[in-house]
Amino acid sequence: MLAPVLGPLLGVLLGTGVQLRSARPTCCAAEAPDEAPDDMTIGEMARQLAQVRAYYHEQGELEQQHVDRNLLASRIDKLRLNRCRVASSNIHGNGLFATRAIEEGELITFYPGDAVILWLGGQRTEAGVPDETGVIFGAHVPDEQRDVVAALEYATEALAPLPPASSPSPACYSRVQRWTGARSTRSR
Amino acid sequence: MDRRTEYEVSVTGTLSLVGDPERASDPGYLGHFANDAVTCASPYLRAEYEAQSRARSNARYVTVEGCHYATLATRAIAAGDEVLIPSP
Repeated sequence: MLAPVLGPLLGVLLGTGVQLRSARPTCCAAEAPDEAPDDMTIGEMARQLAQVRAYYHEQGELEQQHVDRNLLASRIDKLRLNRCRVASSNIHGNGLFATRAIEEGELITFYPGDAVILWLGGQRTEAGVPDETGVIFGAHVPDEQRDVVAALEYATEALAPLPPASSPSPACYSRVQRWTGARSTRSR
Repeated sequence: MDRRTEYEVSVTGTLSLVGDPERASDPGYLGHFANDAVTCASPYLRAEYEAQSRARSNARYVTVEGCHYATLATRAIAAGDEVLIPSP
């Protein structure tokens, strides 16, 4: 039987839409409907991702680098991770906060690849983004939200000239101004 | 990792991940919201900023099988504490 994570990933990568998720028995769901599972470890995730990579290596359906890129651009549904949330930060804007005690070495969350940028023509410069730059969107990103310009605009903004030392409130990093034209501007 | 901006992290010299800041509800994929521990007051104080950022951080990014990017605690984090990533 496929591991809980493996089924959905195979569906995503093959484009079949196959969703093989572990289902909680009805009786258990009724007893604890609000309790999201939270026992995923980084070791378990590594083993399951290794199985996916091995599967595609054996099948020869996709080159390994394409498998890796697709997995980087995938959000896996219903991971058993529920130990952090986003909230207002005293440092600036929003931040990430633990919702329970987390031990040293413990997995907290994953960095999503809603867009994967391939700097095939070299990294961005003050002149802009090289023409050879590519963008891969995750399968979970709807077509109407796949805004290449917005994704690369962000990358270009990241190279905004540094302010002079006398500037009253310089920022080292720029912000995402928007993700798609359809969405409202939101800063962090 | 060689560079990081607010919603982008570089995995290799030729590939980086961008997280959508509008997607903030799945606790399995919130790594793009982690802040640096300190704010860079001036680009001319970058060395000091980086040292403070490292000292005050409690998490870091690690690759998982080269196909996922995880946020891992580098010290114990109490419930309610902010997860802080060092400057790249």
